[in-house]
Amino acid sequence: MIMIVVLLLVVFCGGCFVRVAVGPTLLDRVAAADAISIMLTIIFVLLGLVFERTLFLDVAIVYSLLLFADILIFAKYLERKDLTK
Amino acid sequence: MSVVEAALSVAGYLLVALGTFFCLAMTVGILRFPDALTRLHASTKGLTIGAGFILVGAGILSGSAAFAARTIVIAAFMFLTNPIAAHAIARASYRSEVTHPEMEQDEYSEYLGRQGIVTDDDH
Repeated sequence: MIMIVVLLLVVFCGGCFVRVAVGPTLLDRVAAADAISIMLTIIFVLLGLVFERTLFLDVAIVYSLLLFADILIFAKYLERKDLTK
Repeated sequence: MSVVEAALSVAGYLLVALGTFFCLAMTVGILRFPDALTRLHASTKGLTIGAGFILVGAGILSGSAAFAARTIVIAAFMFLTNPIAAHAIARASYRSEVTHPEMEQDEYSEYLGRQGIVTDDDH
């Protein structure tokens, strides 16, 4: 049951990766990669539920912390370039 | 299995299913919407709510206090940081795009007294 949700989330990650591949601007790709990473965090938590290991949750906590810093740095340093090309 | 355990299990599965539906809606929005800002609108709202539902549902389904506490910590952290990250991306996207073809009204541009891209000294 939970594994079905995990597989669905992997399919949704593939759908968002289409946007990462074809996105017209760079910040489209960053937003789609942000969505993929959040769904990967959820997948870590659900795998921890399936395998009954709380170690997956620590990985998910650290991953979400790093993701937040990542996105802020991307948004800060990609702001003033001409990204429409 | 007592009645309370059955009710908790049903509630957990319902929350996980609802969160998965929100993730599906987010994926459809991020693939189908026409503009970067509307795609961000879909992804941040859908993922904040969807991740919150799935994490709380997983915490309920696990049945252990340590697991549930950590999932609720992750959910609270996502509710704090996901809108901030989306706001940062939207601000950068607004300021770095020369034209916004889908935008009918652009009051912030008039407030800034500019058209198009921001130069380095306008921060």
